[in-house]
Amino acid sequence: MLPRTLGIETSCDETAVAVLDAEGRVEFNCLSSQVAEHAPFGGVVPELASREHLKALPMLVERALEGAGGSPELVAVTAGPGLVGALLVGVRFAGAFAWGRELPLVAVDHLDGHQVSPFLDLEGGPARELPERVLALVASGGHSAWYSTESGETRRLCRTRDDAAGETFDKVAKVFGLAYPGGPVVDRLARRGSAAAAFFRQPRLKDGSNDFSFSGLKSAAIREIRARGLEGVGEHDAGSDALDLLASFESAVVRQLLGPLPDFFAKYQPQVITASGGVAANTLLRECLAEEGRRFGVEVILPPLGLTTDNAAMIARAGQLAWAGGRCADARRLDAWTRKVWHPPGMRRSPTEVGSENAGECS
Amino acid sequence: MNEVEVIISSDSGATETVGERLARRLSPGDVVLLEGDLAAGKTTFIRGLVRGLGGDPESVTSPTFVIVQTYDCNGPISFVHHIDLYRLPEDPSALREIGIEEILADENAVIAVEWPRDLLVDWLPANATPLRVVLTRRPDDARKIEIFPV
Repeated sequence: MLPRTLGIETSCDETAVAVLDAEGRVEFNCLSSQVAEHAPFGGVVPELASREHLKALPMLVERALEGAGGSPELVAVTAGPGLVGALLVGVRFAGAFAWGRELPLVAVDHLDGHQVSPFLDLEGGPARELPERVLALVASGGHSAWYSTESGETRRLCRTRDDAAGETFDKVAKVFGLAYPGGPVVDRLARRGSAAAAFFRQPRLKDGSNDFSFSGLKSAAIREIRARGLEGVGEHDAGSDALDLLASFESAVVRQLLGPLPDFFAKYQPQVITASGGVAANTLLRECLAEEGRRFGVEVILPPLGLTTDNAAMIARAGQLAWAGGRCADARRLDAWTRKVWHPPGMRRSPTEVGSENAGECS
Repeated sequence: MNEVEVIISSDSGATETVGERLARRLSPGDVVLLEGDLAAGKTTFIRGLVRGLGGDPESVTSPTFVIVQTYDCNGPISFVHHIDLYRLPEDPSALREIGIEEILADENAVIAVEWPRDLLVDWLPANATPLRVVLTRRPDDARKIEIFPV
């Protein structure tokens, strides 16, 4: 039995709070942008300001305590990577909450959170157990990377060298005159276009690594948009040429994300393949992954659409699993990790390292 | 240095080299403001800058989502703070909320800002030497890079 867990996520725009029960059932899951009185901008303006997190967090936690099936027995909080001021609000709040209630506290890596999101259910079911070997794609507005997990040890296999996949959607959409965030609207429009209209070359890195590079694709797509006179065309005036170009661009992003999959599959022999992060909501990516799963004869698990973007349910689940592995932080000493959001390959600090820095016993 | 420098860069490797060369002229506390449209090469330029300051160019990625990234460097300049204001709300207080005062006051660092705002200059410490770098994409896809003092 795992402890009922309160999850807190403030690493970037969203203030998110969730409660998971002993079996990882989502008892409560809420984002500040979903709360009417807290979304005067309709969730469009990013909630970067620490004070916005500070305003939303106590209110969301109060709702969580009312909505959950019982008192939390563990607190899990995102400690990085992210914007340091925003992270600190969550970390300090979680620390004070845990200390005041004498609860254990677990620091969670935001990316570990995304990786467990496919195993959660939003229909009231328990969380699925993680298989021994998982191959995981995380693709969002801020991150794009493949991970391999083997017997609880996670390694990053590749990452983006420049822009994140979701960011590329946002920026290309902007040049088209489409709404922010770009992912959902590009997805919708690209379904009506033909991806054969334009061909975007896949980047080849000089060192031959599997790393992504989306900056060249962004640049090429913007060049095509301008060359075809489609700058600022907008959703309602998008004709077949715009729809085709969007479909071609989307297909290039998806091809690149899935490019290293055959290599990684052969090398790590995963029992399941997962995808998470906002880009995991993309229809083409979901279809292509399902097809790869059939080809390799392996199950593909995707998060419920409500848990692809940042949320606290995934943080609570990653926290539960870390707690089960004996990793806890000292509620009085936990700090947000660092301003640096990317660590060089193999250098990404794990909750284990945070534990040793902020050493504490699980109570 | 009061003269505008104009360089034509044929590809991203050349843009990176221009950034690397600029690094040699920088002192701790210097601020570099990068202007240019989407895909003009701002992050590429900063990758060169970080390489020139003895940092790991591979660690340089787009900070659009997280707004601020910091890279370790090697030498009298210990860090590069890489700031991207693209997503930041126009509200002047948003700058304070990301800790801009603290970052700009870091005397051991070079601060590189993408999508800068006029307002930013008011926040600079009196002794800071802001440089403007303007990147423009030409029809032939080469980039014109202009470097001039504010």
